[in-house]
Amino acid sequence: MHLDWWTIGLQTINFGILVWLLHRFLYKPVLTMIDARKAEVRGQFDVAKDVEAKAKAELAAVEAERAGIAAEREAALKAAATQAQEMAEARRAQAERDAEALMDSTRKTLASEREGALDEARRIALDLGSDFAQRLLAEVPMQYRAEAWIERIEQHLKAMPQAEREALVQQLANGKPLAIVTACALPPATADHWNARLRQSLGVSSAMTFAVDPALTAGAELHFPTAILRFSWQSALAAARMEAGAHGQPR
Amino acid sequence: MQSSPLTSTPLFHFGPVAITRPVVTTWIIMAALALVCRFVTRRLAILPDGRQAVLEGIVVGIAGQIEDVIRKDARPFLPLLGTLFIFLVVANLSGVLPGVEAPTSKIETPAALALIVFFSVHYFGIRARGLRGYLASFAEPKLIMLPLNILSEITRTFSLMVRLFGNIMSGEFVIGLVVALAGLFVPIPLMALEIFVGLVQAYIFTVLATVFIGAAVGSVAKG
Repeated sequence: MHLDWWTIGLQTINFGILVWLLHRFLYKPVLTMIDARKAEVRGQFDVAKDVEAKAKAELAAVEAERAGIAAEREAALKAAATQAQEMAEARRAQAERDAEALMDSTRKTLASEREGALDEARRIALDLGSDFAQRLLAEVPMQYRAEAWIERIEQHLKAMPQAEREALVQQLANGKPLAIVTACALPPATADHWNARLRQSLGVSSAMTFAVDPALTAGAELHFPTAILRFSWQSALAAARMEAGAHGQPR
Repeated sequence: MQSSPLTSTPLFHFGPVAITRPVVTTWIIMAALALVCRFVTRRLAILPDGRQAVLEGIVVGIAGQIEDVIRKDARPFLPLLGTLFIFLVVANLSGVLPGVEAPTSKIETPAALALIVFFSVHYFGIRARGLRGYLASFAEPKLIMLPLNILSEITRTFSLMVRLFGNIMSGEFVIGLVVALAGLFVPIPLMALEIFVGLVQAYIFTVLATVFIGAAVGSVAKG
């Protein structure tokens, strides 16, 4: 077997040259392009990662902002609820005070009206009673009524303190008359009888005059020069009305 | 057809140097590969077109095969091993063309390639391990293996050469015989088989070279 060493050498050199040629025209440009593509993909990936990171950061910021808004809303709702509760409490307290004041006012008004009504009723009752009594009294003969009145006058003068009775008697000194006013005119006999008994009770001899005043309703009044002794229903009813108006109940 | 398939007849002489047919065929293959690569890689783009995609697929596929065997970055080995595969594919298949002899069908071309692989293995081994470390690897796993390891370096290189030469030469020889005996269209199935054999032999030669280099750099177990 014959080996051509020149051919072996030339083929070795040829292969070396081919390695260089393919490295120059194939591997280097292709690998460079692949590296560039990888770098670009990596760059785009990095950009995408940056964008993703930014998006995540913005999302986190938005979520934080939303959480802040929610917390702020919660706080606002809580504050509003507290304020509303306070206002409701204040209004309820004010309403209670107003209601209490209204009730007090109403109670007072009712009490006042009730007092007024009671007074009116008392007055009506007094008037009615007086009217009934006056009618009933009209059926009693005058001499009996006058007897009752003179007895009452005598008892009063008798029970009066000595000093007061003397002061009254003193007013009749020097002939000054004592005026006797009755609700209706006394018969002459009754008038004489009254004249005698009053002179005896007072211990005087002064002249006595008789007068009629229907406003007295019943009874009589002794008009001294500077004092009046009232024994009439008019004065009794007036006293009763005054007591009813002052104390709410007649005595 | 030559009288002996084992000898190369000079086409012309360049001084004392005899220029044989395999050398001229290799020059044509070199020129064609360089021009095609130059043409295709003239305007590469980030978004590849069809031709660029095919070219990138070939390069990335070869690099992937190298990485699968060596289990290291393939780029330092890609120019040698990639060129070896591409050249062997083109050279083996060139014999199918009418009037063209495959350069690998003559003993000198496989011998040259085997020599290149032989020295490349030592180059990459020394570069990866250092001279002492690389030499020490010959005594692994036992010192007694030293002669056998040295002998295997020579025999496996010889095996590379003979395997490639024998397969390609025999294919062409059989096709020539059938053409001479049976006629023009009878050897077509044999030519298809020769294409398959050419591709397989290119792959085997390149993978074995890769394995030898991987063993030298220490990433593949010797065996």
